[in-house]
Amino acid sequence: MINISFWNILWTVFNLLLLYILFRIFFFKPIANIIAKRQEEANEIYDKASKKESEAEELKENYEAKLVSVEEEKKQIISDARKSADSQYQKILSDAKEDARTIKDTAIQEATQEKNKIIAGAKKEIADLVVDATSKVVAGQHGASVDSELFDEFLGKAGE
Amino acid sequence: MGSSLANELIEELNCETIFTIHIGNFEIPIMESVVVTWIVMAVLVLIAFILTRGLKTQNISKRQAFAELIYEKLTGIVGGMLGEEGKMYTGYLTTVLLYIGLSNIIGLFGFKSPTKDLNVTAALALMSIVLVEFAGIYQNGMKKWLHKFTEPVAIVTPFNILDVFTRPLSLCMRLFGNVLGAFVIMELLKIICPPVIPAVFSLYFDIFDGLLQAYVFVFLTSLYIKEAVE
Repeated sequence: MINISFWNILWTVFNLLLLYILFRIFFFKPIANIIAKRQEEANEIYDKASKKESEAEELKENYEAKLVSVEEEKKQIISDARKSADSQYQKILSDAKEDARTIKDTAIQEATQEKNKIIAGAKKEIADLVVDATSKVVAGQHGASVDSELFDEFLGKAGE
Repeated sequence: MGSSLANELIEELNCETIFTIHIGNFEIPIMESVVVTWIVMAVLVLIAFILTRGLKTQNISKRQAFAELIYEKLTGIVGGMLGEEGKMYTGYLTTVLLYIGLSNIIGLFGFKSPTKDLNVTAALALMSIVLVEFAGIYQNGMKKWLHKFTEPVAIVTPFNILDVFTRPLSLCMRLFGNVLGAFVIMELLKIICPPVIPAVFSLYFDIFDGLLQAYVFVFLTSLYIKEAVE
């Protein structure tokens, strides 16, 4: 009981150290390793998740920016289209006006020419008529009957 | 009656030499407490071995959850007592805690507790004080370690030196005395009034006190280490 034995103490020290080493190998090390490994895995997953989140955020920003630019482009295109349509309209209108004026001018011109032509034709006819009548009067000299006949003829021709 | 009881107790308390190893001229006696220590070690290592089979990081088994719980709790308790600077001694002190704890309650299974042998508690105390002084030297260096003997004032130096011897002595004797005392009381109770009352007291003396003394031993050792490394 209370006898001190050197060997016993030595054995106990040896046993304790052995037990400590065995426990390190079979208990502390494996569990500490597995816990550290799990921590590492958790960290990895967390890192991945936060990375993905930031990527998603970036994509979202990109899309939003794109959306804004598309909206602007749309407005630009519409306003361009409106402008070009307007100018087209103006051009068409002015062309039409021009055409109308040209047509009108031509018509007037033609009408004037026709009128002149007709007047000239009438003048010539009258002149011919006068010449004819005169020559008949001068050549025939057939008295008053002839004169009246002639006069009627003249009137008839002139009335045509 | 009286003398036979005394004889019986002494019979129970005596640590016999089970066998002797002969190496040349050396005779190495193997005591009963050493053999029981081997049994305790075998049980502990076997449990540890079984608990740590097939460890995984995900979808862990109940066994692994239990192993991790024990690990976290024990290292948490011991590490907490040691403080940040003494963390590296957690493993050894946890081992000691488990060893003393199981040694103290192994009497329930019909073995003689190794801690009932003064040599075992002496060896434990010796290891503790070596660890404490080693920790002090390792952490602070020889010069500071020596200087610590004169703190807080020079006049206490003899007492500080005495501490080196009284600390392990008190550790050793406290554990031994508690286990021995509990054992003697239990034996007396068993002889005087079996069987109900001893069963109730056994809960206290064999299980509670046994585990408490294991905790006290580790607690004091870690306290000394913490003091030495700061």
